[in-house]
Amino acid sequence: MKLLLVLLSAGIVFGSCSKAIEFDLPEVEQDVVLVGKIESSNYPIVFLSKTQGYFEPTSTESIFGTSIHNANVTMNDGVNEITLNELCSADIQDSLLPLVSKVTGIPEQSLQFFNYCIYTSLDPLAIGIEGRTYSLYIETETDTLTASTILPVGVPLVNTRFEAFESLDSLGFLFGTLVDPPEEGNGYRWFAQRINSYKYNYPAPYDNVVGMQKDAFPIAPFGSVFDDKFLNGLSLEIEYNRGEVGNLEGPDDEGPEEGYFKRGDTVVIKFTTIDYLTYLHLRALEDQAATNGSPFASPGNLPSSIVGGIGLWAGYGVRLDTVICN
Amino acid sequence: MQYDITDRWNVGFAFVYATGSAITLPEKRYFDPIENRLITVWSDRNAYRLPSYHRADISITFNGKGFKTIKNLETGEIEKKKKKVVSTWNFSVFNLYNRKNPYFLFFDYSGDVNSGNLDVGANQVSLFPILPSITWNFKF
Repeated sequence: MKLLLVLLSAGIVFGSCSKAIEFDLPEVEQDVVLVGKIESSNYPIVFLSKTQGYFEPTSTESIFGTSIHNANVTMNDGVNEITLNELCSADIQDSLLPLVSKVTGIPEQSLQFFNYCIYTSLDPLAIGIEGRTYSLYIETETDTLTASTILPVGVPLVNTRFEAFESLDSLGFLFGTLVDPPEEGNGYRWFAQRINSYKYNYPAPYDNVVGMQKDAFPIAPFGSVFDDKFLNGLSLEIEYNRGEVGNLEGPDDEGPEEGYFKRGDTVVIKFTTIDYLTYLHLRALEDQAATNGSPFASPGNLPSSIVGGIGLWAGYGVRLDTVICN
Repeated sequence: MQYDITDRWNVGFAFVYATGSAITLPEKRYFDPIENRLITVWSDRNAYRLPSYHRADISITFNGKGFKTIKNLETGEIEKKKKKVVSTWNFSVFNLYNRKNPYFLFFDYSGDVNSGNLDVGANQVSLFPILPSITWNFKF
């Protein structure tokens, strides 16, 4: 019955008239956006920007023009108070961009061509320590924001492995077993990064990728976020396909290898533990991304715990595991 | 409105108007560089209204005769005899001026900031355009 209703609805949509329209929405007050993370044994990264009207120009100048500069950003972990300073990719040597790409998750070419500005600190005291609560206090020219997140103790996966599908010979997914701790409210997020290089080229424009590392940074596939609501204190075998960087396809993100890991790949699984508020935000983000363009999508804003703004300040308890796919 | 031109011809006209349905619209957006995604910030629920709904319909109905004339062979007189099956023809046009009334809206974005081809858009789905129809009714 449900399938019939879906088919009927789809028939109405595709059989009826659909056209692109333009809007002239009234001006609304824009929000300050804080997007940032702190991971185990890694430096904090904070991006500050402003929202813009949904139908404003989508040029890179327009998007990057919303960055907030010269803000006062301080981070407190209950022991130390550290100032995060603004650092822009245009001011970073090209030789350091691969490292910045790995830490931030922004493609190296993007760091080269566009001026990404982050607030961070290279003070060793700023490195994330599990179990601590990290609070941010931010002052811009016109606004004040506060945010807080827990950097949970990472929960490792066991028995991580690659399994090829019988029908696909050399392509498959990655598997692992999670043993959830007894306390409720744990959230998790899976990332994976192929650190081996391409051995052959693909059709244009990817006809010159031999020798290039397959993934520059860990990538989270759709459905990478879950919590322990239904598995608290239990063991669960999980499996994941290979994700893509949002809306940015790589050489093997189209065609038969899309979504699969391959025999011969060396994959670093980055399994992270997150707090419940971070889980709610990321789950809503994945829902919004998955239903982009769907006529049946429901409007819903991403939950945010940031006071004075919107966005996410997330702590990730990281456990790494290397799997050789053979 | 309906009007009998003759006892066999009838015309009708209808005009429907309704305030547009309440709708939640994407008001703002921001780019999340860590997730490499454009994030939509929606308005308060039902903060806006769709354009109003209106359409005009017309119809013309031709009623068949309810009787037939026959000649009484005995008396030679013309008599009226009730038909067993009586039919009518109706010619109508729904949504006479082909207004694209919005049924619902949906929004999407495509492309990527890093590739410089990001695009956001809004789409409107309408149900019924101008719909002429011919109907034959019969009763027995």
